[in-house]
Amino acid sequence: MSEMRNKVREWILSHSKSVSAEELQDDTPLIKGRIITSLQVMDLVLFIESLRKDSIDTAKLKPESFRDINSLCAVFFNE
Amino acid sequence: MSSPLDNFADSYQWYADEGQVALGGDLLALWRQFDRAFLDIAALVSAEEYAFPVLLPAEALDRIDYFQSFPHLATFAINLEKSHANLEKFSAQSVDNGVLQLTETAPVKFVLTPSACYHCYRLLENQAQGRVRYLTTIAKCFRREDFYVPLERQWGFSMREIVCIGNEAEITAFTEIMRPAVESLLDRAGLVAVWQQASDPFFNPSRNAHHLWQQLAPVKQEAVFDERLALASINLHHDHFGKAFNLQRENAPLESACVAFGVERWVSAFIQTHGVDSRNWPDLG
Repeated sequence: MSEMRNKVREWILSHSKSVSAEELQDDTPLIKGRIITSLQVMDLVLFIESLRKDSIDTAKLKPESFRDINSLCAVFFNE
Repeated sequence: MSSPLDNFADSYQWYADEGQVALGGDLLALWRQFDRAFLDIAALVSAEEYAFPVLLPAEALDRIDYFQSFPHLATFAINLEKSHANLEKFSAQSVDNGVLQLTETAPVKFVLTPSACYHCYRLLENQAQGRVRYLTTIAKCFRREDFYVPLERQWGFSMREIVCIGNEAEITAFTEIMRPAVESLLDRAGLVAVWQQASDPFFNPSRNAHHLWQQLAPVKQEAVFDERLALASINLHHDHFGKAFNLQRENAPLESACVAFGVERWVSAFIQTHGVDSRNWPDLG
């Protein structure tokens, strides 16, 4: 597992109260599955910005980008 | 700005004033007919009907970050500080060019209802819900806007809501009943509307977590008439209100969803589609 993927996964596990390490797969739906809440999504964006060392234009974000860990890594880390 | 009501200009069935309308005659009959149809939809889930006050405590709205998200929409209930000297000073003045000159005001603790469903969460606050709850109410809602169009974009407007409070599966089942029911009513009324994903008009949206959430999660669907006018919306709140108002089952916060109808907008879409002559209006059946 890549370093960025691992850090995103660890962030989700440490912030979400509704998923265990065993349950959280790379294709587990984060929003539809209630893993990430409305108040956590902005913090997740800020965390990804800190990993990228680059800002994210939130106005351009699409629902598909936050579907699961796979989509986050594809959109923000080109993985 | 033009309004479908312009076609009624020669009658005494309406007047409009700064984002508000008064309706009578055929227009009022139509308004009532639509609200009865919305109540029929509420009856599909045996929703309990409530009549709520017009004011909401600012404290309740603060818990859902309303004043951070929608300060531009809020309308406040303001009273004068009630000392004799203050009232005397106020009463000695006259309205200047339509503007009241307020003297000292009492602390502002209440807001005119901005959305009908907020009352429902407050009603059930801190109560454990052993079963799914369905409620319905109609409220005169107040939202300050940049411009107004009679029937379509008003400062004071009528909103009928049907609310579900339950777990994820119960919320899903609720929306699966509501959506086709709304579509059926649109069809019977001869109104063409298209479902679109939407978000609420947040202040400073780029800095607002709730706005980002609405952008990323398909939580708001609107039935849009003529590509511009939302007649109804289906809104998924996840546990936003469940947490803020401590609505829970077995110590876990419940989710909520609501279906909202802008009653005057249905009247507007209807007379734009079928004209102002009630003899040509289809029966909603």
